[in-house]
Amino acid sequence: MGTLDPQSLPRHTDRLYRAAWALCGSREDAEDLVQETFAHVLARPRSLRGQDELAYLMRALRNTFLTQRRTASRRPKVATTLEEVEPVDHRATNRPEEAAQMHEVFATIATLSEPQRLALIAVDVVGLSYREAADALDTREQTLAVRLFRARERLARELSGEQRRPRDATSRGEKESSGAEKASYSMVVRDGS
Amino acid sequence: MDRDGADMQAKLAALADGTLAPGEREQALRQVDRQPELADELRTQRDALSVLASVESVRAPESLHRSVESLMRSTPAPASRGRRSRRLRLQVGVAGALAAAAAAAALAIALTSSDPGPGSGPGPSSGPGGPTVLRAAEAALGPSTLPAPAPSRTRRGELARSMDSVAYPYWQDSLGWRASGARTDSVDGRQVSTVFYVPDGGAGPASRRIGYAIVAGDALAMPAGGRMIESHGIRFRALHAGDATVLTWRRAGHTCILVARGGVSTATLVRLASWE
Repeated sequence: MGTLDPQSLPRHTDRLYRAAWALCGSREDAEDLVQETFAHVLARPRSLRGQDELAYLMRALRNTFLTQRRTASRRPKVATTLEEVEPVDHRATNRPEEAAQMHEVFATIATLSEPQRLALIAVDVVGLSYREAADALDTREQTLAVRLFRARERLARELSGEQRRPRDATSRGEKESSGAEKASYSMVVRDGS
Repeated sequence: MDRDGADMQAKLAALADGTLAPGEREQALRQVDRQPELADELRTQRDALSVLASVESVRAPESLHRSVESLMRSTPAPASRGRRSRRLRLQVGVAGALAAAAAAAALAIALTSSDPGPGSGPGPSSGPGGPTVLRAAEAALGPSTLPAPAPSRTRRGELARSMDSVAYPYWQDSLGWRASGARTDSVDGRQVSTVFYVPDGGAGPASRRIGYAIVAGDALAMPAGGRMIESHGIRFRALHAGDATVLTWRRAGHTCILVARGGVSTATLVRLASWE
């Protein structure tokens, strides 16, 4: 039975970061989520149990995300509502317009219901096959494919500014929920001197 | 949604991304040709895929790559990882201590080239021979030598430990970081008290540990370089030295420093420091 090679983690960092950003809706939270996931995975030897490395890491990322969210929900709510002001992310891309577009895409994915979001991330962001994604997310392949269809449909319509059709609202078997809560704080960054 | 409808949605998803089996593909395409609403839905699927293809160009920030490298260095190679958990914990502990020492050494090397010295910038205690923020930060990367302070019994949101009446924050309930230890150093004749925090329930304490240092006496000069960040009306200076991130600001006239190795982002440090 294969075990996860810790030395292989760096080559999955970019992909996992994109998945985490889509999951959290925030770059900073994504960075923390990937770090926490890798720290957890590296804490002891990991048996892949026949899974692909990436599928294993996707499952680990999801589990860490859910654990973090459960832990956060037990804490007192922040009394003040703070607004996050992010500088343009020069690290993700050198083109500001492209960066803004990326932010919009990730923010829209983060508003999808959790099952749809996870299906979309596993297949379209991480690049798993339907079977691998279904295994990683503990669901049936058919269910995953339907969630994926709906996630893409909603993403395309949200990004094109089109209103969701009434049929969608009544036919969805899954409750739509708001996306991941954004950790927010007011931040203004200036170049130091 | 009936079963046929769900089946069709699943097929359209696979048709759009090219993973539908050849036999089913021909059949699905014929259905799409016959029903305009299916063609519309297929187009929507492809639109979404086109947008999603563009995010493949997004790369993880350098700070994350550095932190992953840092995590790897603090983890033993597979061949040397023992089956017994006690042995593994010991190895990780030793590796963590070595990594902490390596980080402190890296910061020491970095500060010799990047620290502008006590004469840079305004500050009441920037006289020759005094400590600098980076020298104090270096001390705060050392191993813990004292037990973790308990939460204050009288003051909510604070730990029962302070430096010159500037108390350390209690972040466990509010932000999920618990105090894990402490140490005290004398840096160039000035006392530097540090409390360490780790994620509550998190793994990898060696790489996800934050040192919160408070320097005794008057505030030190703000170091030059890095980035100036304002959050909640507090002005922070963020710097990178070696694989460590240093955030410094002033509380009640004292220099406070948060320092962490690559495993913690600047944004996280700002978020923690803003929570008083």
